[in-house]
Amino acid sequence: MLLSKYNSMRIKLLLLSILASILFWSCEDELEKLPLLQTMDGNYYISETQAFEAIVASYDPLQYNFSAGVYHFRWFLGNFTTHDVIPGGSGPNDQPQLQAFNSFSYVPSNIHLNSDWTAQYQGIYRTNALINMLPEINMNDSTKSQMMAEGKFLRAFYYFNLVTAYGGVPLVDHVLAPTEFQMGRASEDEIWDFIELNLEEAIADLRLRSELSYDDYGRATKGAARALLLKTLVYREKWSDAASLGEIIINTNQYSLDADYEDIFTIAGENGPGSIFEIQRSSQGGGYWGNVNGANDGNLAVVYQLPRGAYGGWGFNIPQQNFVNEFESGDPRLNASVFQIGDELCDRGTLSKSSTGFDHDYYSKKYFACRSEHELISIGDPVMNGEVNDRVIRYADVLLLTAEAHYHQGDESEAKILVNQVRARARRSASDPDAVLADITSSGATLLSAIYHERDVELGLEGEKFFDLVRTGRAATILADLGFEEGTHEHFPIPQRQIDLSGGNMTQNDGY
Amino acid sequence: MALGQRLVSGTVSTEDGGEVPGVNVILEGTNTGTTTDLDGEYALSVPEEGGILVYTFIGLQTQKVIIGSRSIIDVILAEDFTELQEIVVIGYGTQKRSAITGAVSVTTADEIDKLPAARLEQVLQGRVSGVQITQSSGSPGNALSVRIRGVGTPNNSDPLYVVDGVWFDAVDFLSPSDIESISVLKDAASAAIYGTNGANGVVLITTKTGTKNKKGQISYNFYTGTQSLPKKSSVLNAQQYAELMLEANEGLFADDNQFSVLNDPSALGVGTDWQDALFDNAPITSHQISAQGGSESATYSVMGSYFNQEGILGRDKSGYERYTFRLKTNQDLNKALSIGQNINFTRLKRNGIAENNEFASPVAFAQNIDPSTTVFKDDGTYSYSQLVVGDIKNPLNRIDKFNNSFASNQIIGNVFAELKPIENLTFKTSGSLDLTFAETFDFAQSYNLDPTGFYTHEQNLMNGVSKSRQKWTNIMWENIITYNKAIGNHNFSILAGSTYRDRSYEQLGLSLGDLPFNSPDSAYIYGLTLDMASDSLGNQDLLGAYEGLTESALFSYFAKLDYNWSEKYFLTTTVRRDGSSRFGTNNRYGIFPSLSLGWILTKEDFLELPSFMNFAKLRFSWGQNGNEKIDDYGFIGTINNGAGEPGIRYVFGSGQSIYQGSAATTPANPDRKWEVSTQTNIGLDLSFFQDKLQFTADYFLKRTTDILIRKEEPAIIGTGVNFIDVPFVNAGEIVNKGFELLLIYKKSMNDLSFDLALNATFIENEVTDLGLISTPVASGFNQGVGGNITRMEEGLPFGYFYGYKVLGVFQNKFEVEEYVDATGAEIQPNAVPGDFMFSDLDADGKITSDDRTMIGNPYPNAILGFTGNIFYKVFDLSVFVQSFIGNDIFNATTRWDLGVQNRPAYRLDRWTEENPSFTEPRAVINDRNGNFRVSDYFVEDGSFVRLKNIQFGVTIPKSLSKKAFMQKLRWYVNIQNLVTFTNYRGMDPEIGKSNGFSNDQSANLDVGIDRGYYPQARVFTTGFNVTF
Repeated sequence: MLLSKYNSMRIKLLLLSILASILFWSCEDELEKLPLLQTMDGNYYISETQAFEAIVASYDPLQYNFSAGVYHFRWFLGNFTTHDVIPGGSGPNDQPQLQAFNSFSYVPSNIHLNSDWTAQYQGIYRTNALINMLPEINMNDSTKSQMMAEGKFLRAFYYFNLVTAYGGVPLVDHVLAPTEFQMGRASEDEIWDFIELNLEEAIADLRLRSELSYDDYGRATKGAARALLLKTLVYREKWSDAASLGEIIINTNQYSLDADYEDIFTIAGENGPGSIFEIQRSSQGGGYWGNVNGANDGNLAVVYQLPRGAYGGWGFNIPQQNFVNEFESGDPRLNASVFQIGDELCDRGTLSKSSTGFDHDYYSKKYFACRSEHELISIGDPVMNGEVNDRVIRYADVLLLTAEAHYHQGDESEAKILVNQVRARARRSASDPDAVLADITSSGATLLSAIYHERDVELGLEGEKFFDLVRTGRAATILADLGFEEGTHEHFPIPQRQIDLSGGNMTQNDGY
Repeated sequence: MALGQRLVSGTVSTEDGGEVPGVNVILEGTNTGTTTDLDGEYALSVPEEGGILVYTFIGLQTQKVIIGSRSIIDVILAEDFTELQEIVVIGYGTQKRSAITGAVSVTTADEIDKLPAARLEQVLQGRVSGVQITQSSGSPGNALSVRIRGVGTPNNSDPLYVVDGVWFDAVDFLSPSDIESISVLKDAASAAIYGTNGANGVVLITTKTGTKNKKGQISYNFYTGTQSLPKKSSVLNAQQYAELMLEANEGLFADDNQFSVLNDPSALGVGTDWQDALFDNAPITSHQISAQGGSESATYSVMGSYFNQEGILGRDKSGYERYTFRLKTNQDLNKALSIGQNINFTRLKRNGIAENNEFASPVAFAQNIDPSTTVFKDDGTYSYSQLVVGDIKNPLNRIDKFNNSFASNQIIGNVFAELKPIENLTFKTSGSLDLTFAETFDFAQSYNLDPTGFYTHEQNLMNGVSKSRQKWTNIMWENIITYNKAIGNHNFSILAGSTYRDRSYEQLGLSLGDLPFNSPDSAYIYGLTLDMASDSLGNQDLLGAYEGLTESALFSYFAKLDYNWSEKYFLTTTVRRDGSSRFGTNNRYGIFPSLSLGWILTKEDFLELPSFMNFAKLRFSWGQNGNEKIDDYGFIGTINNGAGEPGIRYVFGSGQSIYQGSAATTPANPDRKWEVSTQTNIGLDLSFFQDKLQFTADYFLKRTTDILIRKEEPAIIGTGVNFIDVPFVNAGEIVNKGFELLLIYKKSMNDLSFDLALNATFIENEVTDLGLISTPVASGFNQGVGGNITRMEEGLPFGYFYGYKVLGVFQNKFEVEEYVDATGAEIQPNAVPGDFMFSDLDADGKITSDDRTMIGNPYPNAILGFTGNIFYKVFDLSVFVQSFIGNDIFNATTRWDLGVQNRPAYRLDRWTEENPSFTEPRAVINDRNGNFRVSDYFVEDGSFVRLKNIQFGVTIPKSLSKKAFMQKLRWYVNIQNLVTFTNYRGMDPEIGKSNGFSNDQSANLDVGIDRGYYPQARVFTTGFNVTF
């Protein structure tokens, strides 16, 4: 009896210890859960295919029209700040922070500046990642050096956008470690030097445009890098270097002016003979509102600039009489640049004020796409997927910059030849070519003004105007009535958000 | 029978219809008496002149009945109202109500069955103090937002649901009629045993269980009814609309365009009432059958239900249908071992219509489209507006051309074994598997309402379908040991256990555009190959495919000690250690302790409490919980290979081909750790007059620290710059504090009894610290006012409204000119009479974005609930009133940014020279003053008192129902949302979080904004409960 009681006690204790061990069985190894559908950072970029993917990623931010929650375009900065246009939209209450560009009343907290800044640094990060990892990849050497050169061109391009807008910015030339996140600004000259260095290295290994296969259209070329370097030299007023580089671009015979100015901005005219660098766009990307990066492959500028109301656009970047007056009488470039009331908008009908619901006389034509090319696209949200490439650097720009360089070098005759080349092309499509756009024959300050004027009409609405005015020291006079203040508005303010996030390591531009 | 005597007989039963044997039936003041037999019947001789019969039975309330001239007296005895003895379900166990030291609210089947509700949250709404349940959407089957003791995190604030011991994030699968009781664990100490899942509170649900030694009972409940729109939003009719537009245009419209129809307002008459055209009456039906019973060693409960509700918007297009089956059994194998199982299957299908979205909600369209357009063209097809041509569409066409549905099949299996090897020791192991297979279906027809192609806003030129399959797997294994011991007056109970939980989510989806048939019924992707997935132009990418797969796991130990001395002094302490796969190895584990104390004052002799106070208890508790409801893998960096969102792609080649790229887009945060919420609770329970009057009060202070917020890094790092890529960091603190009160009064007299309950909650919320986040976090964008509305900022309530303050309306030019800054410069130089005067808060002489301030708080100061039940003879009446006090609503149902869309009727009071309004600005299209920017003009008082439910029932006397072999038969009529008192001018003042399905930071912060919700219906139902 006693024995059995003892046994039953033992059985119970045994049972208890089994239970206890089950209870405290550990599943802690099961807590190691890693992503199942994504590659982890740190074991990527090992093949040529992946190097190409890094190249694609480096170009991608060029297309961003929507970053950090709002829109940005180069022409917000380059056109809205001039007499050429008003921002437009549905009125002063539509995106007030955009309207502020037109009166120099933007403040450091302007969200569009933050958006622009963010996109450029995303591009810089991607090129840094590419440039950092390329040397480690085992692949064809010439492909590798060409990819490296593309990376450096793009890095220079992103910095060019930054330095012209903000002056000195943080110089990020590698993928940052967390300890480096809160970086201060480099000087404006350091950024310019960095741009020049990258472009010189890029020029050496990039292909000529004629060496590109059809499949490679859109990739950076020797010509693109040289043209960007030319702009850099002009911005730095290194006139002698600029003049000789301009001549190299011209004499390499890779580019010519498109026969008809009006063709440049059509979809058929994309990557035409006069196109040195274009941001490539496709309407087939299927992007939509939720695609927060604006990594639409399409161009948002199309819907942004299309008239409102019955035409289905948002009606921004509205050309003003000032801009129209800039054109010499009979200059066919006017009709190629703006729509006027009564014009046919391709298959969108005739432009009338009542159908737009607004009292505007003109609309921008340079990012226009017919409905059949735009809204009839079969994928994603067609409205967000404009099928028009951004013309970033055109041959006409190179000719005019070279002319300016020659002028400053004292070679007025060479300057006139180049300006007149641009005028001759424009003249060609006029109804009476003999009656308009006579050759420039002036000299001295008048000649310089003529070159500037030619830039204004040739490159109108393309985002150059404000930067030209600042670069040539004319902004203070010309833009004074809009609110431009000398010593302040040559640069846009560093986005306040970025100053805050830098822990105060970045300082603000003067005057803001 | 003695002279002057007569016989009285009858049956004694309980409220649920069961007869009660052994009830003492005594003639008051005498020794005459008897007891009921096995069928609950009795017969007794009473004096001719009658008297009073007293029915007594342990566990049931004593009842006295005046005999009068009756000879048959059937009596229904209510459960004895000794709620203090009631057993309450708490975390990992049960407890006598009198022994509870935390803050726990209980709702039982009696109350649940009163409301014809589709979802559990609707049952709890307004009944439980400290819990704010908001039904923003009236779309059938839609989720409600449940916030226990305020919002403590910008992340997922939903409570944990525990159904019969198994954890769930949502309880769509339950039919409310399956529920026996719900306990809401509100304080941290009660919920601490759930550790990292307890920070938002815990809702414990017990489903109906059979009782041992009870004859099987089958009950069937049925109701059916109709739903209608309770209130339209008042907008301008066609003539008023035209007049306003002419005024805004400052003259007639030019003859050559479509607006010229507005030039003669009186010719337009009242026009189309789009809301009348849009809303419809819709049916609702519910069947529910259940059987419960038990033998000496086993119990069973079988339940099945069918629920079908169409919507008042689009009928079946927003319909909801649900089938549930549930089997719950328990078997004692021998004295020491018992096993049980719980099997649930639910099939539900929910169709959806876009809402609370200024670009897609038909409700918003109906309020914005012009009333001069007809719904249909003469040929019977849908019409389109030629005036309002942007985002606003014909709402009926919109509903007609789009289909959206979600259907799920959920299977939950739970088995457990309980072993009692020695006295007082229990070991329980329980395993469960919760599998949900879901299908989503979206179809957009192609259409073009203007065949001439001039108006392009009402067209979708390519149809498209998207189909996806989801699978959620949730496996749980839990082991618990409990040991109870009493030594003299010392009572101990110890519990220790472990939980392992493993979850995964998979999805696969396909989408295809340009289908050959333009109908949702023929939207097949069947037989398609990639080559074929291009249209006639050779466009690729019409076929889309996507995949998702994530996993997470949790492993925990926990322990609990309950101690009381003589059931007078109570102490409970718990600790839980959790490990979660959502955190990197740096901070994978968290420990969450709690302590609570209770003291029953009425058991203390030295406190000479008044005798009418029969119970008094003081409670104190302190505890910590965690929150791990964030994304699965954020602690590690990943490469975005371009296929996901946002896409990384670029275009090369003369053919403009799209190439995919790869880059890291999110910086990793290996240091992220738990959010911790620490809560102190002080409570007092009082009962008077033998529990007739009960009072409970709780004060709580809940502090959530280390809240996980997406922290933006400087953009120069190049990653983490878009919202979804920004990594979580632990930063900041949110404090919620508040009072909860509950007051119950019960009384019963002869044939009449009633009970009244009032609960009230007062909560104050403040974001006290945002840590490393340098600027306030904004959300709640609305196109109509062109900006973000809600914010999270230090020192202010979570999700407060942020905007300009309107000082008034400029009445004349002088007022504009006199509104100057210190230097005498005009502050609003663009303003004209009739425009708003905005407050220049920073006194810089301009109205800039820095002049914005707090203009409203979406959360109520007080939440009140009142229930009243009256029983008289065979009749019963129950009333349920719900109220929010002090919450603000941002009325964003109008597209102010558009020039010509319709306006609310209150615009009739707009400023004109003849009508000097001080609140409504002038009508204007070219608005240079920015009158309709985010300001307090749109902020309305959202307080409301709603007669949420009223029900009247009749129980057929037992003597009659018995003849039809029924134990109980009750018939009732019910009206839900009969009347709502509110000053809010929109359709429905119950406005909560923006989207019931998304739980990211920006959705959680988007609160109290009405962009056109699906309004709640008024529901008339009638039904019956029958028990055999």
